[in-house]
Amino acid sequence: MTARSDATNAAEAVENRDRLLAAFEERVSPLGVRVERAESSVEVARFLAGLSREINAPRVTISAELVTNAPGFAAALTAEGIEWRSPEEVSEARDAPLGVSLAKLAIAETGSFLLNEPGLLDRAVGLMSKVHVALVPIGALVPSLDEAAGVLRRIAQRPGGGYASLVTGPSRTADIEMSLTVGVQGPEIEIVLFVDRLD
Amino acid sequence: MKTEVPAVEHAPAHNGHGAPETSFRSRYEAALNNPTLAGNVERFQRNWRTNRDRAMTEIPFEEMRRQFKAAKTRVTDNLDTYLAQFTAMAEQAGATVHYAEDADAANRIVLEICRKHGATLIAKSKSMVSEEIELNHRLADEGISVIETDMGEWIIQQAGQRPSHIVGPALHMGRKEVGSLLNRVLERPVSLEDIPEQVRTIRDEMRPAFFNAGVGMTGANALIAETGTVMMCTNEGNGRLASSVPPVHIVLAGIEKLVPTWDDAMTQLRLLARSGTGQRLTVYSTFITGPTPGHEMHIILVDNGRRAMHAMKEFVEAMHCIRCGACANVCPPYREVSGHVFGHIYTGAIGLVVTPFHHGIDAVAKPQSLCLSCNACETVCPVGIPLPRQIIDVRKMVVQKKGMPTAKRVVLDVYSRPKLFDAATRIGSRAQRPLKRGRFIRGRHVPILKSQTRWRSMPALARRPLRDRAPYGGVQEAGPALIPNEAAGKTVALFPGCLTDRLYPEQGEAIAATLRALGVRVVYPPGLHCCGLPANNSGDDANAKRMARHTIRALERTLDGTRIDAIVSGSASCVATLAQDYLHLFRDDPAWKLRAERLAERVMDFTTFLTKVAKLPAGSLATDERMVVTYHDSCQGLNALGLREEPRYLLRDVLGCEIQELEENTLCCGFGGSFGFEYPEVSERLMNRKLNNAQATGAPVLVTDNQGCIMHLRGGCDASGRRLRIVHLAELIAERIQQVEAKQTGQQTAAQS
Ligand code: SF4
Ligand code: SF4
Repeated sequence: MTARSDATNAAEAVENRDRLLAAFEERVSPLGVRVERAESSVEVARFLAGLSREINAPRVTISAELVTNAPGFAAALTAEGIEWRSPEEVSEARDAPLGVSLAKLAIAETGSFLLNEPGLLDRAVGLMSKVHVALVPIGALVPSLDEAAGVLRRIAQRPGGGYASLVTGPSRTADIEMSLTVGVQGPEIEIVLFVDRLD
Repeated sequence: MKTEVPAVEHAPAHNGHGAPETSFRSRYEAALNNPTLAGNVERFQRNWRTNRDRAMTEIPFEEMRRQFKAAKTRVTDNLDTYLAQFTAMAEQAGATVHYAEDADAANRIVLEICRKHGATLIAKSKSMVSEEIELNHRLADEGISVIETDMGEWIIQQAGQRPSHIVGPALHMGRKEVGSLLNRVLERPVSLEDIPEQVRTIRDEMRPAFFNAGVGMTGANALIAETGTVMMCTNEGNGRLASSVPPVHIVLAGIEKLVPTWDDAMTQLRLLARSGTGQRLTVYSTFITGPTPGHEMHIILVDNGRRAMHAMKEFVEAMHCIRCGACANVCPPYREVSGHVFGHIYTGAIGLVVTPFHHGIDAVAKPQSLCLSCNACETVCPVGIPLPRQIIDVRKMVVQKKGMPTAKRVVLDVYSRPKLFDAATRIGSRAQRPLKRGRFIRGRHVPILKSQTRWRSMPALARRPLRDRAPYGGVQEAGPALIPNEAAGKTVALFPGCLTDRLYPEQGEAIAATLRALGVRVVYPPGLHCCGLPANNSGDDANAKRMARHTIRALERTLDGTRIDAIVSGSASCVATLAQDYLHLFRDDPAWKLRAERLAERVMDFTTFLTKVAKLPAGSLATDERMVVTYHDSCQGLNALGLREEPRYLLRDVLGCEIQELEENTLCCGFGGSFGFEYPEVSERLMNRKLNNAQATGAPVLVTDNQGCIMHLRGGCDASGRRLRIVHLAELIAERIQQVEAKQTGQQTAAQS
C-alpha cells in the first residue's frame, strides 16, 4: 500500500517537476537564456568543458560558495582538465569570460533564478562575468513568486541581512530607440543548468 | 476647494549642466519644431502599448491592482508605523537610516557621507529622487562628481538635459542624436547608426566608475517594512554593481516607497515591470537588507513635500505611485511634446500631480494645462491613482493662485449663467448667418478666427436648439415597442447636454425616437443647462459647482414629480460628469453630495441603456445591407465609463454592421474642450492621426458617442475636405428604426390589400 502510494507520489513529483521545467523554459527562451539539464557534478563539469571550448574561455571562475557546497563538483572540474579558480579580489571577476555560481531557487512563473551571496567575492561572479552559468539544484525549482517570497523573507531575516537578486535573462538595455541590446553591465549570456545531484 | 497650495518655494529647475531651464513656451515650441522628437516618443508609446497589453494578459490586472492598492493604502493609512518598522528593521540589519525633510537636507546628508569617506566620485544607478533634489549639480558645487550608470541617464547627463521620462530618460532621442553626442563628448568617431556599438561604447565608458567610485548610489523601487529591505529593479545590471562594489552604498528613496510585506512586494513585482516596460520582470529584481560585509549602507528617506501630499485627501493616493511611467506612455499630448514639456522634473500625468508638492505650484502652472482630461492614464495605472481628477484639482490650485486668462474667464462666466447663455446663443445663431456654410462657420473668412479654423471648421449653432423643438417640461408618450426589448414600459428623462441642444438637436431627437420605438416614455426635464464640465475641466471650481447645483435641482424637480427609471444622455462626457465628477466636487458638502449620489444612481449613457436595460437582442435591427463602419471610442465612453464591447455589440450584433477597427483606437482624438484653442498644434496632430486612421479603415462612416468628438472630427473633415461621415450612434440606430418601421408598415399594407 504505502510503497505503491510512495511510487505514485514520486511519479507525480516527477511529472510536476517536468511541467515546471517546461514552463520555466518557455518563459526564458524568448529572453535568449539557454536551459540545460545534468544529472551529476561530473556531467556539469563535462558541459562546462564543452562550453569553455565553444566560447574560447581560458579558465572558469567559480564562486567560492559553490566550491564549498559541492566539493565533488570542483574535483570533477579538475578531472575534466578545466582550469578554474575562485576570485580573491573583485577585479579578478571583472569581465571574466565564464563564471559559474550556485542559484538558490528557480521560479517557473517568471523564468528567474535567485542569486544570494552575502559576500562580494561570491557575488561578483554572477555580477561581472561575460558568460554566466547558474547551477540550480532541480529541487529548487518552484512554481511562483509566492514561494520565492518565503525564501526571500528568510534570507532578509538572517542576522546581518542579505543581498539577493532574482535574475531573469541576460543584462540588457533598450534605452536607445527601444532597440534591445543584450549584455550591458551584467552578463551577456545566461545559461541555467538544472542539476539532479550536486555533490 | 479647501485645498492649500503647498508653500514650496523653489528656484527654477536646472538642466543637466546646471543652467536654469528655458521657459515653458520655448520648450513647447522647440518640441513641436523638433523633426524627430514626436516620432521617437510615438515609437516608444506604440511599442510599449503592445508589449504591456500582451504582458498583462498573464495576470488579472484589475484584481491585482485592487489588491496592491489596498497594500499601499495600508501604508498611507499608517505611514508612521511603517516608517518606524522599516527604519528599525533596516538598522537591525546594519544599515544607517536617515530622514531628510527636504531636498537640501537630503543633499547635505549625501555630502556628509561622501566627506566622511573622502569620496569624490559617486557611481549612481537610476534614481528619480536624485533628480527631484537636483543632486548632481548640488554635489558638483561641492567638488563631488556623480556619474550616471544607467544607459539612458548617462546619455542625458552628457547631453546636459534632464530625463524626459521616469523610466526611459532618453527615449526622446534617436540613434543619430546619441551618435553625434558620443562623437562630441568622447572626441572620437562612433557610429550614428549602429545602436549595439553605441551601447558598447557607453558601457565601456562608464564601467570603470563602479571600481573607482567611493560611493555607489541607487534608488529604491520599494522599501519592505517587514524586514527593512530595499527592493530595486533594473535591466542593465548597473544597480547591482553600484550597490555592491563601492565600499559605501547610499539609497535615496521617497517615503512613499514603503510596502508592508514581502507578499506585497511580490504583487508590486508582478505589476511593475509589466507596466513599465511590458516585461514579466526586469532582468534584476534585487533585495538588499543591510550592508555587504565590510561595507556601509545608508538609506536616506526623503519627505520633500510628501507629507503635505499625504495630508490632503485629494492627493494622498499619489503616494501610492510606483513610478512605472505607464501614465506617460498612453498620454496623447505627451506623445507630441515629450516629458521635457509635459511635466517638470517628474513627467507625465503623475508629474503634473506631484510637482506642486516637490517643486511648487508655479513649476506646474503651464504644463498642467497640457492635460486634455482623456482619462487614459488612469486606466493603465497599476495602483489605480485617479490621475485625471487629481490633475484637475491641481488646475484648480493653479487657477486659485494665478487666476485665468480673461477671455476664458468671460466665456465660463457666461456659460455658467443659463439665461445669459441662452440669450447669447440665440443672438449668435442669428449673427452667424452670413458666415454659415452648411453646418459650419467658415472662419477663414474672418481674420481673427483664421488660426483656429484653418485646420478645423467651427460648427454653426443650430437654427433652433433642441429646447425649441422638443416638448421641454413635457412628455412624449411611448410608441408600440418595435422590437422586443426589456425597457418597454419604462420612463426615461432625457439629458441632452448643451452641445446636442445647441449644435446637434437632431441627435437628441434620434435618441428620443429610438427610446420611443422601444416603448419608452420620454420626459424632457425643464430648466436644464450645461452640466458644468467645461468649468470643472478648466479648474473653475465655483462655476462648476454652480452649474452642478443647477443641474441637480433641475433633474430633482423632474424626479420628484414623475416616476423616472433612468436619466439618459447621449453624451458620454455629461454622464461621466454627472455620475462621477459631481461626487468629488461635493466631497466636502454632505448634503449636496447625497443629492449627487441619488442622481448618479439614475444617470446612464445611451449605449448602456440599450445594452444593459433594454438588452436589445442581436439581429433585431439588422438589414440585408451590410454597412461598413468604424467606431471611435470617445475617451469618456471608453476610459471613464468603461464602454468597449457595448457599442460594438450594438453596431455589429444589433445593427449587423461590419466594424473596421481603427488603428490605436484607445487614443484620444485631441478635442479636449478648450484644449484645441490653447494648444491648436497638438490638437490638430491628434485629430489628423485619428482621421487618417479612420480613413485607412476604408469605412465610409465613423460612429461615436460623444458630441465633442463629433464637433471636432467633423470640423477637421470639413477643413481638410476629407470625405467621412461622422455620426452619433443614436443617429444610426434611429435611421435603422425608421427602415424597420417602414418595412413593417409596408408589410402590413401589403397584407391588408
Ligand atoms: S488625462 Fe489624458 S491628457 Fe491628461 S495626463 Fe492623463 S493621459 Fe494625459
Ligand atoms: S501614477 Fe500610476 S501609472 Fe503613473 S507612474 Fe505612478 S504608478 Fe505608474
